[in-house]
Amino acid sequence: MSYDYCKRLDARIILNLHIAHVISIRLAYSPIPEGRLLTILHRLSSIKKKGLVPLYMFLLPGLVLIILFNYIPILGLQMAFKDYSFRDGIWGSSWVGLQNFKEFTASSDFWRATGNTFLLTMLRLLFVFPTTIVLALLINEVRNFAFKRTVQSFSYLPHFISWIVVVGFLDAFLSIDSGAANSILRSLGVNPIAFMGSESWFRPVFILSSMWKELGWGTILYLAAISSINPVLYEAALVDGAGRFTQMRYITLPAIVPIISIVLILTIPGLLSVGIDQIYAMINPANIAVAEVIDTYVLRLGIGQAQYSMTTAIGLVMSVISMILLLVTNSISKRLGGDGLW
Amino acid sequence: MVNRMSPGDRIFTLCNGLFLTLFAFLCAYPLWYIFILSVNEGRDAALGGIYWWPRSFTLDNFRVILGDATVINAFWITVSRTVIGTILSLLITSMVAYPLSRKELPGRNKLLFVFLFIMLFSGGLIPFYIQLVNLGLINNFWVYIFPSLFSVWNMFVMKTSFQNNIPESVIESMKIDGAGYTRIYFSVVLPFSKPLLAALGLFTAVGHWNDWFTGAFFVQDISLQPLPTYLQRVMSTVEASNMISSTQFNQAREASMYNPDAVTSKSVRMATTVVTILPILFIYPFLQKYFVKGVLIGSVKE
Amino acid sequence: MSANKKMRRVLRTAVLVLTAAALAACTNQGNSTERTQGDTETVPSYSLYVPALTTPVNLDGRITQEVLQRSGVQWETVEIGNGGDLAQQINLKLVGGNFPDAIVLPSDSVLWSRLIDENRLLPLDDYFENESEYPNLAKIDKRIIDNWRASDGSIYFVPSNYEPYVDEPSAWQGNAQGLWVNDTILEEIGISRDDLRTLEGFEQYLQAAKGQQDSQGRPIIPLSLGGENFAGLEVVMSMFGVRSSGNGWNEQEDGTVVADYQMPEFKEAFRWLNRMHLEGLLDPETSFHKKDLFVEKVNNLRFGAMLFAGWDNPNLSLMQSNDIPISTPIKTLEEQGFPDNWFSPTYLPVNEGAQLAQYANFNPFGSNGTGLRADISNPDALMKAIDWMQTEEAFILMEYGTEEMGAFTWEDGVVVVNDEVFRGPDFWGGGSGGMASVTQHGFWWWKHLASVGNTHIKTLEPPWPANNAMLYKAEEINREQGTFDLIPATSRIRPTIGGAVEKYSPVQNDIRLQYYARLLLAENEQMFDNAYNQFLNEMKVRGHDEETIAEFNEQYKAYSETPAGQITVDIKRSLPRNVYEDEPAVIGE
Repeated sequence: MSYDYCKRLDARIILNLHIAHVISIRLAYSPIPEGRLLTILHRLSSIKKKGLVPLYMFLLPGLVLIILFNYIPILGLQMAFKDYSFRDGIWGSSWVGLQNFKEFTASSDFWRATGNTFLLTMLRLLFVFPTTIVLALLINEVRNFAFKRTVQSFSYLPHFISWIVVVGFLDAFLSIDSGAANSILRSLGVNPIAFMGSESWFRPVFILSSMWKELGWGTILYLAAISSINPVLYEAALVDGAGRFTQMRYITLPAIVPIISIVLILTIPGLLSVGIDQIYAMINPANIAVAEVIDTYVLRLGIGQAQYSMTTAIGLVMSVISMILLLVTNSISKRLGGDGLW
Repeated sequence: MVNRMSPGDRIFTLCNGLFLTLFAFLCAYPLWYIFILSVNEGRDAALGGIYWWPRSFTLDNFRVILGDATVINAFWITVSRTVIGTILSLLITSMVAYPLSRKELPGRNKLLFVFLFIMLFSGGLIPFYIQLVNLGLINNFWVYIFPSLFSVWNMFVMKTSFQNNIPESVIESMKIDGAGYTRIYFSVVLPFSKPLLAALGLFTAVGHWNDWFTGAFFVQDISLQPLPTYLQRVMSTVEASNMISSTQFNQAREASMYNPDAVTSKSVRMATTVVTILPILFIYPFLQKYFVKGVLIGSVKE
Repeated sequence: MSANKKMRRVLRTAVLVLTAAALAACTNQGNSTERTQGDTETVPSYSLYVPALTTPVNLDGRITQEVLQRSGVQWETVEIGNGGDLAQQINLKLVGGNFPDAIVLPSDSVLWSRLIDENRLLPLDDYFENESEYPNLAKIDKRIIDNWRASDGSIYFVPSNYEPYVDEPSAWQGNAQGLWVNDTILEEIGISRDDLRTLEGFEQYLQAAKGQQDSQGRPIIPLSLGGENFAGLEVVMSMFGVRSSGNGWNEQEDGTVVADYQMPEFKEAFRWLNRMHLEGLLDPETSFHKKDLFVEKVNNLRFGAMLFAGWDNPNLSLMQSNDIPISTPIKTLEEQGFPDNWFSPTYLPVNEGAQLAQYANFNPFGSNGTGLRADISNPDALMKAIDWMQTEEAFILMEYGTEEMGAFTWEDGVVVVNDEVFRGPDFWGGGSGGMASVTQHGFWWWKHLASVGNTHIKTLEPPWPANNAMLYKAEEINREQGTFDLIPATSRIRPTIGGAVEKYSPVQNDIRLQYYARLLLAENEQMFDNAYNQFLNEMKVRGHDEETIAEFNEQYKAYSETPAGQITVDIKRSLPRNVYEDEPAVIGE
């Protein structure tokens, strides 16, 4: 019996690999009309002649991996159009058309969560993203090697602390009863503020805490990019009598523009996902109206109520929107003369 | 060199230094706070008012989480998955990024889209789990490695960097010397991108080091459990033990078992954080030497 | 092109590794199955899944080995949970197809119904009626069995940790909820405990407490509602005659059920809380503080009174900070005097014209249940083992090990525990590790699988420490003031799978929490009324409460006609614990 199981398993793997193979061929070369066979063959031979074959070979492991771990599971998206039950499985569950979509778009919770998500990610894009670049530039301007290294090392620390711990720290620091922040306010004669339990303070606290946690870590990428700048450029600039700001403006900044634009582009599809950890740790009954985001909403639906079809449907819509956003940003970025993703 | 600084430059240097010092302090202090709470008795810490030094020192929190052989095993599992996973991931991901950075590759845009697609669409946890079952990866060490081997995000960053930071002239001259794409990859692309690879490698490694989810959901075998999953379990046990005492547990000696401990779920959480961060802090300087050297090349030479 | 070759080699290796991994997985699978088959001839072997347990189980542990031997079955694997959400873990198990032979779940888990609905579990009815083969299962009180009966009339679980004699339970059920006050402040203000029994008297106390200062000179916070998510709300609601625990179902005189928030008394209670907030009598962080922060405030003696679950009171830390040994019994403390700011439970204030509602439950039905997979092979042997585990012998073994291990001795039919061994490294792990370090030795977890409660096992019990005695006292007060009773039928019903209650109650809970915060923080009467009306409206629109209430009423009516719905318990006597003496005493007789 165990042997049977193994054979079945092997068969599945082979089948998967086969599907992977077929899909990869389909995707790499679109379906071949017979009349064009000659041109295709011609192109193939030219690929071979130019020595491009190894380049395709390089892609192969990555392709196999994404087919196995991404594309095949993506077939599960059909759950969005089904009434999924464990008994019947993904393929056996009955089709329900667009019912799942109708249901969640009719819920005001969903729209509230969508609004909050969008607002929070926009705020983060507006504040955290540029601040990271500025910080990277500032660190880069430090001439003292030891100081620079210390600042860098320290700035990475918060990244390693989980959000639960960070928010625990915030709770203590901002507490009305014993928090340092409110003690200061009190000594200034200001009434204590419920920072962690108020709708109006949620967003500032959210942005500042994500800044604190990710700023330093975010600079790594930019500093690494700056490091690839050819030193000759700076030497030449120095000879020309360029000051530090001029150097920063005309050498450093342009050098990291490609990375900036790529990070920016990659942020766009994520506009609909705030990241669950931070919100999950910060959300409470007093701020839920502004703190509930799609991720926490989906978590509640999926885990609390086992509504997998519904969560898949929401996920699908989010993906489609993200894709549109991405296509738009990419084309804008290209039109502006920057680097697109493709 | 100093005398060449303009007054404006000097003021900037000073302000910048002050600002960064403050920033570094803000970043470091909470960690120090976590550290002193982790070596303080939990119940005493719950009284608050500890800011700079531990008030009643104890190592019990660490004893709780490091107290048995499972931890050592979990530690090695984590180390091996981090090392294997990071190296393989950098290799596979850069292998994909490289051809996609070559403009002469026919069908490049379509291929790019194939990879981009997975960044946006996913089938969710259940189909993914079923696929892992089908591939025999449940309860298997390789579940830590294979599914996360290829990273789209890293791939795009690499691709951009390959495109922009590797001088095309070098590649062209290699080609004229008769080098194929494979040799260019190993002898130009990879060495040129060391700082970037170090940075992305650190990102990946930290991801591996902190990942508790894979161990929790796809692995039941305790001997295959990584450290974060184990620590997560300990945490929930400490919390559960507090809870068990407070629900109706109908045991004869329950009342006296409710042991007032130096250990609270908060203090254990702090110790857990310290345990997770420390190794990274130790390894970090070695990695940093690598890419900070790279980072500094640009600015040191004046 | 050596590089090309190198590349090919890399690829080949990658493929090899992939295949090897898959193969390795196969061989593993093969091995374990074969071993199971091999062992079947000798000792029947099963797999067990305990998702609520998070501490690793060591099957080689001494007590475990003994349990295995005496129960006559082998456990091939014991899987535990990861501390995350139970539903998700079990759902993945269902999807993956590797469902275990036996599964242990908390008695209040909704997942039971789901598993039954999907035909995953084996009906166990016959085992509970077969006195000759399964005497200990047949012995279980029929009311307990009835309570576990699913809506299709069958029983799918063996309960664990239930009361052996429902009418003679332990006097300690762990219900310490209620009003706790700071004795020192009470004394300084000069208000008697009897004064606190009216709302006016209670408010007077709170107003006076507001003027008091703690040791650091900060003003006392007069009232707290406990930890997260309005934990103590059920106590406040009780003062106004509303039952808000157990999803807030309140049975009316005509036998129908209404939701708590629809009752005028509910609004009145919140208006009162709102007033307390506006007058600065209530902790301003009530609606959002986390447990850690709450505990910090408790131990810093910031509160004058607490309406809450009772357990997180500051008495223990008071004993520690006053250098009183933590095992000091209450009798000793009464003689030498309590430390300042000692918290003690007291009778609840009652709103005029109201009658206190029940919030403390007596649940004799067991804390966990074990279910068997529908297509399990050889269920009889496993049930035989579970039957044995219901004996007192099994309980003592699972709790204290064998007598040779030295954790206990039999003296005249009484279990006498040797604390040094029992709390030493082989048992509780000793030291400050507490329960977190006990578990690697893996003994007490067997009781999750199957066990009778130990109420009637005669044991020599040392006197309770004073802080725990206070918890016991709180439960006594709950019994006396009528807030303690058998867990009501409305709380015993499991929701219909796929029904409105199951679907909307998470949404409703969110709406509740959000509007509780708004009601509490409303700045004036008009805002309060608006918030309340919005609350009702949200419950209707988003929470679909018309559907849920109708469905629940229907279900409740049907349930009332089943044996489970008609369970009544008439407590003949309760078996007290050694709480108020300062010498060890025999309990359980």
